[in-house]
Amino acid sequence: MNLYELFKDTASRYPEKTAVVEGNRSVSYRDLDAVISVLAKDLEKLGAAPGQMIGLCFANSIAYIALTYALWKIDAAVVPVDVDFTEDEIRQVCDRMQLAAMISHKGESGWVEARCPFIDTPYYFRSMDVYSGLESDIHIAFVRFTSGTTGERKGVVLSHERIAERISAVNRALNITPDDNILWILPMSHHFVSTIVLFLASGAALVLAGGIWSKSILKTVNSGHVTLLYASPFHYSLLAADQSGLMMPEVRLAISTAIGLPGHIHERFSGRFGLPLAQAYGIIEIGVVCINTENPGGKPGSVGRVLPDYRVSVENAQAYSGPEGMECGELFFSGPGFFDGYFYPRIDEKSALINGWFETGDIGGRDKEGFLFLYGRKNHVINTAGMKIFPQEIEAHLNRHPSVKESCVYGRKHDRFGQTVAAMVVLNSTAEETDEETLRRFCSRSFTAYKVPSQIFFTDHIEKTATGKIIRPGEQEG
Amino acid sequence: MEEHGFLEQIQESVLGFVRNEIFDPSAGIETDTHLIEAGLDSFSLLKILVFVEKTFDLRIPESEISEERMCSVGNISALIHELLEKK
Repeated sequence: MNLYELFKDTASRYPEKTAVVEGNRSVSYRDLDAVISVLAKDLEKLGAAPGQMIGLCFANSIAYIALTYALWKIDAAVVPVDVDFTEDEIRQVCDRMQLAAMISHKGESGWVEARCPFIDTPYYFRSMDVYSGLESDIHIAFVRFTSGTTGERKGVVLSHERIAERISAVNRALNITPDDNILWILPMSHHFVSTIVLFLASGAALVLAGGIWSKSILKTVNSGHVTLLYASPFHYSLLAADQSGLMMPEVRLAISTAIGLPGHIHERFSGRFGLPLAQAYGIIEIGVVCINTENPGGKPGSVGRVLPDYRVSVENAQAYSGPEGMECGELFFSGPGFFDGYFYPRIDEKSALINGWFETGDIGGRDKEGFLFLYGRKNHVINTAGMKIFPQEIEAHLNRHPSVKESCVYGRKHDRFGQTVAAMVVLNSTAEETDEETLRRFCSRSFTAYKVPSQIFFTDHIEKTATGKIIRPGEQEG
Repeated sequence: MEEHGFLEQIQESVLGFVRNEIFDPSAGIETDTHLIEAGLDSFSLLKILVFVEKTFDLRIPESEISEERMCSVGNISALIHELLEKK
């Protein structure tokens, strides 16, 4: 099975229907299929081939979608690369993910410039000449690169088959039909396989938001006859504060994802638009396993009951205490469409799961009716507006600065963005005077903006365990 | 005179942050550069909001986070100035 075939099948059923709207331009399913087909041939001429891993560094656009499906059509795997990655980060993706080629929205010397047919969007292609293809018994469609220090697992591998399984499981909650128009605002490089693939397999239209500002979003929602919103709490907080008086009469469902939905945002949004906000819980390894479409108003703060195709287990409950009547512990899930393992070092699915169960690392609670609530993380991964950051990666970089003796990076609780990145730094006794801005700029050169610590505190020692492991501050109030 | 000096200080601080930490210094961001046209995205906005909270001990309310008010360093600084006055 191939996800392109899934799309093509939908395109042949609804050829005239709008598939994607971007500003003043819209493409029908038939036209998008034509773009994909020509693009696939062009990419093959440029050197793309079956079995290759190809990086895709592009902003949200019709071109992003067409390039992804064109790569799938030629049986290459897509590795999304953030558009604001630094050169260091891009180099890391290319090496670790063994990319055979890269497609980007911008090119330098050595890149071949080409244009997407019909939609006329330029793109740039570069072969890496190092890796030609992978020997794999899995039909890889997508690998989400996860950065980190040595020893951490990198690259979540998803096959065509698994993606198809997960979209069918999530659609039991969303019930997407060809009558749906979905407002798209989240970065496609982070959200694609559980959502966009589903929407385009269902004959729905994707309406790409032109900006994050409430006025322009509301205009797009109304002109695009949007029926479903899929956005982060921050977007909803801006919409909730809108004073234009514009409503969203055609929206049937608004879903909040990426970070936990603060209660006050839910209240304000519902109050402003008369619509409940359904909180979703998704992880790249396993897909979207919960969406509180059932009772978002009555169970605020809950991600809902586990979707029908999945099972949840609350483990190690003896170590956690929670509110009365709530079973609290570490959340494990099992079900269809889970990932096919990690790419580097290669760990297959069987070894990555524990008897078929995925350990999320999230601490949560389940009430008597089975509604799940999320409380925090077992490990120290920082979640800033949905972007996951490994503190060890930032520490390793900070420690390379000549003035830094050691550092400790951790998440500080933030009501708008979930968490922000903070660092405690011990300077060398002989160090020249170094200030916060200097260290932040040192980080900016190597990291994309969301990874750069927003706050750096100078201290004279960092607490450690008896074995020398850093004791990171728990979630601190910001 | 003093008022004018305070706004200038805010501008200097915001410009330094936006010019060096949000954009590449070579982009040459100025007080009146249109930041959205220059590529300001939601993560850059996030960084600016956290910077303002930390530097000026000021939380910009959601109702003020609009394209008009956040489209240049000059406008952001004027907004900060106005909100600090009200505090």
